[in-house]
Amino acid sequence: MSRGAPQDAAAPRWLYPVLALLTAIGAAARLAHDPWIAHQAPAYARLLEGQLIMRDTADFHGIVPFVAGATPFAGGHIGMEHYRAWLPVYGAGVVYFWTRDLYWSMALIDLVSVWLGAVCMYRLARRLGVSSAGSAIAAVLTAASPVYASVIWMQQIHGANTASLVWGSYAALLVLDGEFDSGRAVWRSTAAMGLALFGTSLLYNYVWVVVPCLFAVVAVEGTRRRARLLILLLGVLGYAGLTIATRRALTLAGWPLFPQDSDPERRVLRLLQGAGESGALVAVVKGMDPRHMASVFHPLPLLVGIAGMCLGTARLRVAGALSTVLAAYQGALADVPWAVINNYPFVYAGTGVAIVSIASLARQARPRAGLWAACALTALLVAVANVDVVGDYSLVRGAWIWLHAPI
Amino acid sequence: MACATNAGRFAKMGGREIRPVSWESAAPTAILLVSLPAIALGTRADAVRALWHVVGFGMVYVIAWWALTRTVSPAARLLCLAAVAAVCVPAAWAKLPPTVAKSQRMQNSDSESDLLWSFGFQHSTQRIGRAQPLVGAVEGYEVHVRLAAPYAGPARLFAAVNGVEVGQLSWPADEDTDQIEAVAAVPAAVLSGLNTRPPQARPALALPLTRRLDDADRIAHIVVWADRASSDLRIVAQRALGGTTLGQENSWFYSGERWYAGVLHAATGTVRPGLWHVFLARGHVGR
Repeated sequence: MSRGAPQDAAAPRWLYPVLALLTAIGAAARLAHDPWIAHQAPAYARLLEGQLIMRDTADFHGIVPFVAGATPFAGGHIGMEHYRAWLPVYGAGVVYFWTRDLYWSMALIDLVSVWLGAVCMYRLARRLGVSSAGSAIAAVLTAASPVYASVIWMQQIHGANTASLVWGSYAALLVLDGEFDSGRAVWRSTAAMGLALFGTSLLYNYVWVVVPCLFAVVAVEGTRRRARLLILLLGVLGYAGLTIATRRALTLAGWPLFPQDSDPERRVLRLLQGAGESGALVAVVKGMDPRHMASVFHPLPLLVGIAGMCLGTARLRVAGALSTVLAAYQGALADVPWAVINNYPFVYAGTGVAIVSIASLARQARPRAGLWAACALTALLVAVANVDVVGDYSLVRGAWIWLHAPI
Repeated sequence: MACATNAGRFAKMGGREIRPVSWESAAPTAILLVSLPAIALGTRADAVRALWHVVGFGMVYVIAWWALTRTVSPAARLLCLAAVAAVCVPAAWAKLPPTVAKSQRMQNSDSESDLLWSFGFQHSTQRIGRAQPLVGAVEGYEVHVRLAAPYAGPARLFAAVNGVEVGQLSWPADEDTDQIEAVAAVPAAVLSGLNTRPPQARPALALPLTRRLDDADRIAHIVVWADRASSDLRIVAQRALGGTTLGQENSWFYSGERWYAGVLHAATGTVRPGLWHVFLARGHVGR
């Protein structure tokens, strides 16, 4: 697939405004009530500019004003929690400079991120070989997803957290598909891949999901396999070089990165170190609990999505399967349901495939039944995942069980 | 060196075709090359801030450049990129007074807030109550009361569970000011057999629940009070109660004469639906 391929055809005109509307409705519906965090884990609730937020937002409420020119830096240290959110923090800092409103500077970045995530979902699904209708369904489900809501509507205010997985996957896949190819030279594509991965690492560090999936896609597709493998390998090296240079620059500037046990790099090292020990890997595998995933997505969209993945293209199948294993692995390490979401772009792409397939069957029975079936199924999946809007917090409790104390 | 001919064809230099450089393609590069030094100059007093802005602006600009190239005309792209620079570069020159950041700190509660506020006992006969369902074994529980701020005055907090006094609550002097919890251990015997042994205590220690309990429910009655009035010893309360099993009857306020279902909102002096930050838990509830 290259530039100008059908996958790059413009989305239906109604789609992006509808996604914006869904994002706004989701926000308004939750902001009209008290946020999840207050219902779920009251002791984590705090106030920021009169709004309820989750305590974890403390990660950013020091560094955002610092970026916007408030000195000295009140955060005490720059840790991985700041580094991996470099770009959202920068964006929030710029908005804060203009608005002087800390809550809304971070919340605005979150809201725009959700919309951009849904927009990129359409594009990513097209790249994964999903039809235009299926991709639009995937984008709608993404905009209304509890995966996004569980970050934003918890009032966690982690700028762009989660949504950036779609952006990163889309950008890297685009480069892999030849967006920046120029003749036989690979330097442009290599530089673009390095930058795409570096950018992804500064947007919640989903490199650890994106890169394995790209290698898997290259492995199962015969087209330009050697050239694409070269671009990917050199791109990873470029990403590593940029990362080392940036971290070195932070150290030279007097603020070395404060290590965190949850850093992906540390986790991988621990896994490799533990691989030689008997039972270490077995314990991780045993810790993979499929119920965690169902708790986050809601069982129905998850099942439909996985069925759709199986019906999809080879790249959707392989990327979906691998990201699902990685998500389950992360869930086993963290033992919290909300961590088991790193396959959501592929789950929703799969859902789009499944719903279009069902609609096709319905159309064979009656011509207009296909459209109605697709709309009804999409509405059903949106509804079951958003029941908190009408006061049913069961899905939220399942996803955020680690925070939940019986109250 | 651009060498376009009048006919619009490209000249060749050294065997390579040289394309003319149009203002539409040169201008985005020019904006970037002007913006980066401007950002570096504006943030020169702080190396970390300079790095944050240079990397942040560079990535945002390049992503916007690429996305706009795919979607809009060159003139519109140029306009948008100029707007990106006009919004971002001034932020690098900003110097906010320290008071700006201090005034926007995260707060444990705010007495004026309708969402999350705090309450200080006005006299020693007042009580606050919580009815909390218990799950699983009854061993190892503690009463946790979340305080709005550090307190080192003479007032002391006490608690009773199911009508049995569990003693004075305490908190370490060096507690994290962001999450101060007054704690007292609860003997397992106090919590066992809740179904069959509803609290039989004097009125100030028994919550008058009206809700019929399911056989499977085990509700612990927690009552907290101070030995003297203290406006500085403040307990956090909130409006939201969607996660509670008992709804409005999860929290209670005893005026000294009778119990009211709800929490006291100090700023308005009203008892309203809400939740005291008083919990039975096996460890810190906010970490």
